[in-house]
Amino acid sequence: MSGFLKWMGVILGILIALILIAVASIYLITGNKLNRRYEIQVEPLEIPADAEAIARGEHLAKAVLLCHECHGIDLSGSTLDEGPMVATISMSNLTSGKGGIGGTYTDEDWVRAIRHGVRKDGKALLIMPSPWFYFLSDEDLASVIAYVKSIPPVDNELPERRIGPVGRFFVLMEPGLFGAEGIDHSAPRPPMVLPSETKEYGEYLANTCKNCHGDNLGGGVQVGAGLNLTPGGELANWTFEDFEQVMRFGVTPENRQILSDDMPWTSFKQLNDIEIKAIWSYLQSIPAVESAPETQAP
Amino acid sequence: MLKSSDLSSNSYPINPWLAAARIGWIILLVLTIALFVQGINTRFGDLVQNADTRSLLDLGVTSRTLAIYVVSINVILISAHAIIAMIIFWRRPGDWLALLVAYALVSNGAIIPLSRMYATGENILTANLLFMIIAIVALISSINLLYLFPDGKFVPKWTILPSILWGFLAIFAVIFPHSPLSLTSWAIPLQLLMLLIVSLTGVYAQVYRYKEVSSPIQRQQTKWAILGLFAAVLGPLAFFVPFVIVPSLRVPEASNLLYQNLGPSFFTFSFLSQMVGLTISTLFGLLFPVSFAIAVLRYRLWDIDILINRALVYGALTGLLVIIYLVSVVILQGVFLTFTGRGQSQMVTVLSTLGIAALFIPLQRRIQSVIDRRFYRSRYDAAKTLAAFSNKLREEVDLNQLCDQLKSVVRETMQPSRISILLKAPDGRYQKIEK
Repeated sequence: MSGFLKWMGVILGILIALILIAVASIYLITGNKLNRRYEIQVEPLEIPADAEAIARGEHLAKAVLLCHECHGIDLSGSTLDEGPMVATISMSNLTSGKGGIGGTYTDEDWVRAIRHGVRKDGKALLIMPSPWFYFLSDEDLASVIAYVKSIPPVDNELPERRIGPVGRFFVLMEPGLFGAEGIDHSAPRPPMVLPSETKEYGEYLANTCKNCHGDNLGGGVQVGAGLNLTPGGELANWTFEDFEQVMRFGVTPENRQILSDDMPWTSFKQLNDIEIKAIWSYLQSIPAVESAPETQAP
Repeated sequence: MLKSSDLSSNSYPINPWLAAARIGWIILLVLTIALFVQGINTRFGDLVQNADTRSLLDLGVTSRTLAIYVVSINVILISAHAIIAMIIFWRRPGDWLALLVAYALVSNGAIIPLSRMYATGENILTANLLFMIIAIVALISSINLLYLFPDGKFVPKWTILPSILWGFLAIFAVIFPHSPLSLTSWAIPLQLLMLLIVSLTGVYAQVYRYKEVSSPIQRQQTKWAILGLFAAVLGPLAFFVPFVIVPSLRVPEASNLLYQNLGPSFFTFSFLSQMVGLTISTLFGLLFPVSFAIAVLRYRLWDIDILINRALVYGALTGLLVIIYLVSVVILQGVFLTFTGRGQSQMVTVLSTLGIAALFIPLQRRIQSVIDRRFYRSRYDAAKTLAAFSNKLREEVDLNQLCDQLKSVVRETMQPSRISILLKAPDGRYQKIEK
């Protein structure tokens, strides 16, 4: 009896100890990453309250920054639940309703979150695409904050962020999950670009496109990755009208209807003529990148 | 219940209550199989339609293949439980506890696949009611096996109290899931605490029996049954938290923007881990029928000590390799970051993997040796003694001395009550040397 119980105890003990050591190692390493606090002194912004600025902010949030894709139509947040073994990640309720951060965030907190990818408590926001928002001018960022502050409160309490052991392993292996890590927080602000049909303004707007189309806009091979938008890709044979048709109606020159789930053209259709022309102008100017052989259609 | 002399006997007097319970088991078996067969098509369609297509595309697998895989796993799970239950039912007709095992096997084998088909309450009323009955039988029978195995009595007697409590909770959980008395309406930590209490009292009961009550044969049966009981306890866990542990096999609600932002590998990784979890939990679930079949029918079929030995060796080996891999990845990332400025290099993965591959055999030998020395002293000593004897054989020419040494070795390694050696004489007759 004692021998059998000893064996069983030892088996269980060793297995539990090994599992605990492995899990503890992962938790220790990723814990440092998840709990790292960023001391960022944000530049004070004057947040306008006029209707024009709020409208500009709404336009940018919906058509350019695509905030609604993750935070929901009414910006009341959403949850990505992959189970306790992997992760439960909540995209914050941005309103001032119950469970929202709108009522607690100061203007500086908003700047820290959008531009630097850092939460109110100094920890990094998970999957916040701040590296692409970092280029927003002070005026545009102030407009976006003005808009977010103006949205009606929505009660939506979201679960706390939980990263399970499998998710922790992923956090360990994938450094790009925290936008704050990829930003030089002390870099000088890029020069202000005025709205016009120029390629400079197009570049300013097209930062969000890099999310799916890659940093060089040359597309990708992974599932759901965007097309090669450079002159070396599919767009080489497109006219401006073709491009505009894709952006406004989600229909390619080959008459293929793009699902809005794949490419958010229902958001992009709100871009005005100047913005679409500016983006087109920018795309025509960037260096050609050879398409990868297995690029997935958007 | 399970004396060795009884194991091959089928001549039990059948009383009317037992006969009724046996008919009930047959009805349960038929209903379970019918419900499963009825739900297969819908389940297959759901799996094809609601699969995580992006992850599947990333893996180069079609949703149809995934559906076939998941349904096949379910078929294997249900079939294994049902077939072994039928064998036990057939071989042990006069035995109440064998019947309880058969009930537990049929219902627990089906609970996970059926919960995917019927627990949502979107099906027709009859099917949902039948599922509820199967779920109640599964929940009650599996936990009660902990209290009742192997002689069918509550030992210690007070274990009848948690058994009754569990019965009530299980019935409320299935029939009135929103009632305050239902486990499912409690907070998850409270649910887990309750399951822990019930399971631990069951484990205590088994240990108590093993120590104080069981005969040597029952102890051997208990060894096998404990393996199965681990899986049996997983049955209730699987009923209450399947959607928490394995929430996948549904369309991810992440937009493509979020998908790209978080990275396709995250979703694929998550999907794969859930698939691996599903497969491992199924394999683990198969422990229940197999170990109980051995315990109830033929406890001497395999040597459980070998199983324990292998579990020790490969459990420790796997854990060590995982730790070494993780540590090497972290260290190599640091080294690469220092010298190349890039921590994320495929070289890190390749080097770590090669290191693990190179370590596998030597580490396995080392662990095997340590475990044999520490926990299997007699076997270890026997192996050493036999090795030494075989070396002496080459040098020894005196037959009498050789016989003495052989007897000594056999006595030392096998500790028999008597030893005889038969020597073939030149005339063909055998001469017996006895001690």
